[in-house]
Amino acid sequence: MFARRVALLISALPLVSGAQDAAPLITVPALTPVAVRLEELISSNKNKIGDHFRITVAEDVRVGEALVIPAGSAGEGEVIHAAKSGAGGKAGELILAARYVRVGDVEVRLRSFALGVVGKDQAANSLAASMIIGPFAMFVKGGVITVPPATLGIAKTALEFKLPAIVTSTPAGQSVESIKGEENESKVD
Amino acid sequence: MNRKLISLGIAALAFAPCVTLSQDNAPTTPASDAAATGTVVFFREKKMMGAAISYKVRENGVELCKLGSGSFCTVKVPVGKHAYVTKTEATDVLNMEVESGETYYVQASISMGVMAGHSNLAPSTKEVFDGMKAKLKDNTGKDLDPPKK
Repeated sequence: MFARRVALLISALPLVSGAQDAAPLITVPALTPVAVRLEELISSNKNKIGDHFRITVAEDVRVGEALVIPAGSAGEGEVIHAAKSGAGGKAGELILAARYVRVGDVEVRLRSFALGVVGKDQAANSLAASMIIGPFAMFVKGGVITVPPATLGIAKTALEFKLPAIVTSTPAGQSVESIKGEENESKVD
Repeated sequence: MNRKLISLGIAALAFAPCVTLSQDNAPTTPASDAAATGTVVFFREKKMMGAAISYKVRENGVELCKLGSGSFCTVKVPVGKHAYVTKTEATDVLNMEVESGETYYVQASISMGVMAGHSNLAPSTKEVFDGMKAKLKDNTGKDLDPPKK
């Protein structure tokens, strides 16, 4: 009886271990750039400090060949500072932060949000942003500041995360396979 | 007794990967810790208007920087939310969130008031600061009173 139980438990071992192979976890290093799109209008006149706003990932984030954060992943940002323009020529002020994007059950925390020109660095085939406005997304302008929906910015992952590689379908009816990601070796400045 | 222990051991071995799997999605490397700091550069352009008025930047009553016309201060601050306050005729507050290893630029100015003018702190950029840095005097840590007890 005992021998049977032992045999049963031992035979179950490979099945449990095999579950890990189904979704390989990819290490996403801290400070990985994430292109972000604002999904709603933010105004220095209407929004207040602490207001939250919707954001989405504007472009797939890959580690090596593995897709880890797909474009369209939803998340949230926060208004850090908002000041209306006032008398005596006081300009309107707005500072925004990207807080997180959600990938499956994982909340990927973000930092260093900057709104500006986001482009593709062709040499490195990675996202690069012209940080024309410093390490935070801020605006100063005489009058009301309005940041329209679909404004692009760039944030960075705040921590190192392990995310499952997203399964992508191949064109023209070919079989669907999991992307077998390697440990990330890319460097982020 | 021994049989029970062996069974328990094997069962624990069998389910160990499940436990590891559920922990693997958690963030593993904190990008900032409690001791992490960022840098805030407060600067004020050299201008005739309001040149006679200088004012201090404070946080929670602690003086961080005294800004006269054409001066700047570099202040290391802990990571997290901050509210910097200046007060002349009117009070102005700039809320910021400092992240580890980042440098933030804050431009101070003074606008028309009845007596002493209205001081203002506004977020700015490295480019703006660099453009006028040569004409600014470094006032970091100078002319500050110790915190009141």
